[in-house]
Amino acid sequence: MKGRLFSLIFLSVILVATLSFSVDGSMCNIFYSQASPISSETPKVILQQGTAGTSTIYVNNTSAKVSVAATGWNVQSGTGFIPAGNNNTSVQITPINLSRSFLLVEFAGGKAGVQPEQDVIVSGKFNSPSQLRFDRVGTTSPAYFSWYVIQASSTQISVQSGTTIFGSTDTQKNVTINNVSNATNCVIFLSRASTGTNETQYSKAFVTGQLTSTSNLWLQRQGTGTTVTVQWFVVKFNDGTIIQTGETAVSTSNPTNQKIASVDLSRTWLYFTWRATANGLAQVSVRGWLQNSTDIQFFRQTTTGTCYVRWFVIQMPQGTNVQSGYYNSQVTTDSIVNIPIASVDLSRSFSFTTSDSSGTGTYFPRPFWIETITNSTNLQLQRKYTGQTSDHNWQVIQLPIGYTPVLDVKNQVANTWNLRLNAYSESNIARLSNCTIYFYYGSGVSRQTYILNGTYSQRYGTWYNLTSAGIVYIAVAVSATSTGTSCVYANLEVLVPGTSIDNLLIISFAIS
Amino acid sequence: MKIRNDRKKIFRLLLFLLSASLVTVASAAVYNYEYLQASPISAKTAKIVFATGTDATQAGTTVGTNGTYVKFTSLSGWPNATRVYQNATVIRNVDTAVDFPVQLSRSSWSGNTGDVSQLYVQIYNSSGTWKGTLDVVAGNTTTFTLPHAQTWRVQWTIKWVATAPATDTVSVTVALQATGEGTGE
Repeated sequence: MKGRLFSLIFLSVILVATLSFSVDGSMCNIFYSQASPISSETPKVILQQGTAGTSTIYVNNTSAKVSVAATGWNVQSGTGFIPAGNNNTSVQITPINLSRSFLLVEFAGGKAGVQPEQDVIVSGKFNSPSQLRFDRVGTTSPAYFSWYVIQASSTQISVQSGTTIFGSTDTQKNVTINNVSNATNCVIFLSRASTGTNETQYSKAFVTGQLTSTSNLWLQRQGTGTTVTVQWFVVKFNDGTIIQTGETAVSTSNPTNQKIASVDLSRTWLYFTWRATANGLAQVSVRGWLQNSTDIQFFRQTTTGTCYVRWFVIQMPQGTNVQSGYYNSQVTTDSIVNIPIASVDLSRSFSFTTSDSSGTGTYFPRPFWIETITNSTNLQLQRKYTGQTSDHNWQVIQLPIGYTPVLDVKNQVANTWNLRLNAYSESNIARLSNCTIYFYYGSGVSRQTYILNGTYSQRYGTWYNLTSAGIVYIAVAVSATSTGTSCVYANLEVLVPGTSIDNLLIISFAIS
Repeated sequence: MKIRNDRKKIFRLLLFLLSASLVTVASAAVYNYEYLQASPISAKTAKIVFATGTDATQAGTTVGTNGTYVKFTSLSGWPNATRVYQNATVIRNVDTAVDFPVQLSRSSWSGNTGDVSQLYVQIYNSSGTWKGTLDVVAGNTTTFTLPHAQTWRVQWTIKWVATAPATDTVSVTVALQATGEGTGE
């Protein structure tokens, strides 16, 4: 009896002691969350090879590696003069690659009413990758000039250059060049200097150049009696630029019409040089323009003599923008002409202008004008001595940004998606002066990732709506300041509209 | 006479042994009853509950009665692409004063698990700050404290390997253990 009582008391004490402990110490609830099934499904938005660059598309088309080379352009420009007493001067430039750069030169003589050929006509060449050299034969009065250096960032062009001298009895020179494989893709740019001393031999200093074969450059002039030094550039276009070339005699018809195959005027420009049979202000001054998509026209303010015009019609790839126009000079006193233009990017734009002249005498350098794009909306023409009227046909060429469509993004279903690129990592981007990765969709572009002067200005873009069964292209435009390879790693975010459900497709860009 | 006396002794001894056995057996069947009584055991509203997030429709989210269970039936992903459901569901502490420690763990995992490259359940607070990740493939656990009156979102991140066929599926059950979620009454 006592034992039972003892047991009962003992158990009660244990129970009470247990209840006195904190309830929280060992109490929990377990909830369950089940995901079933989680499925693998066929991708509804896929990546495919674009039309440029080299892409590796990985299994199931949901990630890619893109290798692309810089394909932009860079233009440097300036004006200068050879001082009186000198026959040459040098100009320092940002270093370029000589194998993909060429030089355009215009001259305007000095501030004197009558000057001989040797003092006025200026040629230009690359002295080194970082230096231009301008030459004339004479040393009297300053000799003003303007220049453009046009460089391709990649293999859009390949350039050969050289110096050829016409002896006093030469009217033509054949120059052996490296084989260009396809002569129809080439344009001959040139400038020259002359030993003429009496204003009567300007006509003999005008030179034309053309390829007669893939390895022969043929230079010509009309007349003999002076020594003419020609600085020439054979520029082969490798980027799909279409070249038409021919020779037209401009004589008694003003304008003289030349038929061509149809071109897209928005991205086509006209370059030409000529030979002249007769000396005189109007005789040697011919201007030309693209009258329409199938006609070139040339004009002089005289019908005396003949100018044999070697013309090149240059239709460049999509992304090139060409503005052109006619400036009608009403006065003989203008020395500066400012022409408003639509805004351009100076870093990839240049101009080419040709002018006629009134007067048949030899008051040179009055017909000669230099040109420069002074700001994004102004083309300026200058001459150093007035006295005749000159009408001008001007062109401003803005080169492509270097758009390279490297990937296609395809919507495989009827659903719509919102897309954007988001760069999350990178290496060695300090060498990229301008790298833009964007969506290109035919009617426009949407910039997504933007690197400027080596740092990010923008890592991700605004959302782009990819419609049912639609396609958008990922394009890269890039310019680099040095050799090497930069990498940008980005997610292509594919968002279900109206939700926060994302698909992340990894794309790596290797930019050389 | 002596033999007769001996027999009597033996008989008494046997009788004694028999009696002892009976006592032992009887003692073995003797025991005591002690009672524990819990009364009442009540049903109470849960303090930690699930609710649908803004991506519930696409995720196939279904929340059980009283918010103590949630199921997703439409989660999916493309091979070699990361699918993120930022807001398939939320967890909510409905208590107005008490913060609760919470632990996530993988309770079950089946199917074509070898073809899953990544499967994360990630927790973000109301400010969008990451608070913890359950790596389902690795089978780790993650703990965090859900403050009172707060709603945090649960993000699912799924990535299949590049070669995963469209027929692959997996199933996973995640346990959410909320500690101290009692009333102390």
